[in-house]
Amino acid sequence: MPRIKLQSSDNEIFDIEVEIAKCSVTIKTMLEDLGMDDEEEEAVPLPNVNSAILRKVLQWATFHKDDPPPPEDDENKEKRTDDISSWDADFLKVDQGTLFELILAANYLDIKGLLDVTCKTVANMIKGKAPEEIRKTFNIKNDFTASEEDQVRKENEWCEEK
Amino acid sequence: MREITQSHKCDKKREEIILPQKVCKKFNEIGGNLLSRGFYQLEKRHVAIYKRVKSGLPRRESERKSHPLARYNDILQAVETRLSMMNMTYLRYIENGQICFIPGKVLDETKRILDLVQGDGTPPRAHVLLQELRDLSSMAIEHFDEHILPKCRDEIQKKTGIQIFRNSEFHYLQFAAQLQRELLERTTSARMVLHEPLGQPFSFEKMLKLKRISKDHKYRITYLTQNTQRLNLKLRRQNNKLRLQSAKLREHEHKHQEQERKLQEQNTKILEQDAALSDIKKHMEEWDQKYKDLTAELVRAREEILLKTSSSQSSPNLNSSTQPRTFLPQFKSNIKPRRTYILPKSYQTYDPDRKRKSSLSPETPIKRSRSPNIPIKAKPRKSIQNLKFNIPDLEGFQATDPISTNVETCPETVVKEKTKFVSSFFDKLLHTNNTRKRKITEDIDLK
Repeated sequence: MPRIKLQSSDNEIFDIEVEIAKCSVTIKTMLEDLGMDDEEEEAVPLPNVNSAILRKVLQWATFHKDDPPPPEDDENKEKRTDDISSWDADFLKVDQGTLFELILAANYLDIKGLLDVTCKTVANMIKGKAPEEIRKTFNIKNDFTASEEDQVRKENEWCEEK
Repeated sequence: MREITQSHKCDKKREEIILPQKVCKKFNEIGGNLLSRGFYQLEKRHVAIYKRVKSGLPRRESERKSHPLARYNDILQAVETRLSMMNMTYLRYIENGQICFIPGKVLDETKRILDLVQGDGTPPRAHVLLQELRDLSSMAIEHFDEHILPKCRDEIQKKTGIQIFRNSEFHYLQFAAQLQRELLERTTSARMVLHEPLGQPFSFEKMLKLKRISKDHKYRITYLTQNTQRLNLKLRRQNNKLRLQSAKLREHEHKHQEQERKLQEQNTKILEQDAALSDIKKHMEEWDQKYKDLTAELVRAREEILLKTSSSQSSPNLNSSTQPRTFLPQFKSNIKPRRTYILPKSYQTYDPDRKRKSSLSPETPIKRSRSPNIPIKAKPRKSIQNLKFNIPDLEGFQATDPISTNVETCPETVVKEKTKFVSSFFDKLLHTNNTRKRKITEDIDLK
């Protein structure tokens, strides 16, 4: 099995199978564009991903290496958020910081499956919560002015039952 | 980050987007974009489905009605109407970037309908299926017209006003600067007037420029005047409309007041009629009571008469075993017709017809077989037998009745005496009851 070396932002080298690395469309395209020698010793630098996150990403990619390629996004097709597999759910039981870094890494490495599942997890964290709760959960500052807030409230009160 | 938020929001129902929109400006912006995008997507999807359904329908309108796809066509047509209404309401302002597509629930409902149309099962009838969509969309449009549109218009007016002002301001500033420059130059040229003639080329060029600027201004002023005129016209029209509406309102108010007044009048009339009805009822009850009393009195009077007559009959008959029967028909003919219909209940067994047939037997009712002379041992009852009458003449007559002793000696005198007595008795009786009877009949007539 051909192998490839990936270098994290903190200079840790990960020696993995090329098939696993190709889960990332970014790496796959790079390898396709640059070509790859069997005796390539040079590591592929990934300056936006630290070692802890890269390890997690590679763990996910190893588990899902035999998965069929994800279908193309259909604009009209609604996505669901309750179809996360139990393994993925356990895998994503991490702190919020790690989860967001995973999202960023998945976005950077263009791993659609991981991006979907991490985003769905965040969506589930938002679902059913009041604005104040969401602010509290994600430490978001309310930057609306009083009039803007009033405007948003007014816009959305059309369907409130009297 | 924005992409991530968008992608996660794609999973959600449009309705659910509303809540996170209130979190912060970024969420609001992304949510708004998602809603607007959702509306465009739905429009596209609807167009595609409608096209497919239409291609399956026959060309003739008459044949379409009975086609299996007719229901789908109806539903899609109605959805199209609703979508175009929403489009007309929101799209202009969405494109201006002033608002997003606000009613997420409408999108959810439209999506549900389109899913049903695309599904395998037969959808329900259009009016049933589209009820919710109709409600939601009309609510949304109404809300938009009342609460959001005025603000959007204000914003547009502000923007255009500032733009016009900026443009005109820029030109005026340019113009002023040029004028200043010209004046300065002129003064300098005036100073040099002795040395050279008034700067001909300068003034000509400047004049040309000025002319161009003034022409430009003229165009702008005419445009602005036209705009103002148009706005004035609109204002006048709206004023007229307002006036008409206020007149209508006044008229409605007047009508309303009149109707209220009528209602009050009717209410008072009803009250009066109620009072009158209760009076009538009271009167009726009184009359009923009176009638009952009168009937009782009448019955009592009749009974009295009957009793008197019977007693008058029976007393001479007590000793009449040997008496000739010749006077009986005469007596009978006087009282019989009255006796038939006014008998009390206790006389129900009494058959007057039977009596009429047998003219030989004495006319005494069954219960009256008990002679008044026979003492009544049973407990006193309120019946004819218990009634006492003041007929002293009759008693006197009985006491000094010569019939019992001299019946055989002079029957003619006896008969004469008897007839005399009976006639005097009846005269008395009739005389005494005459006023009473008249009274009763008067009362009855009154009723």
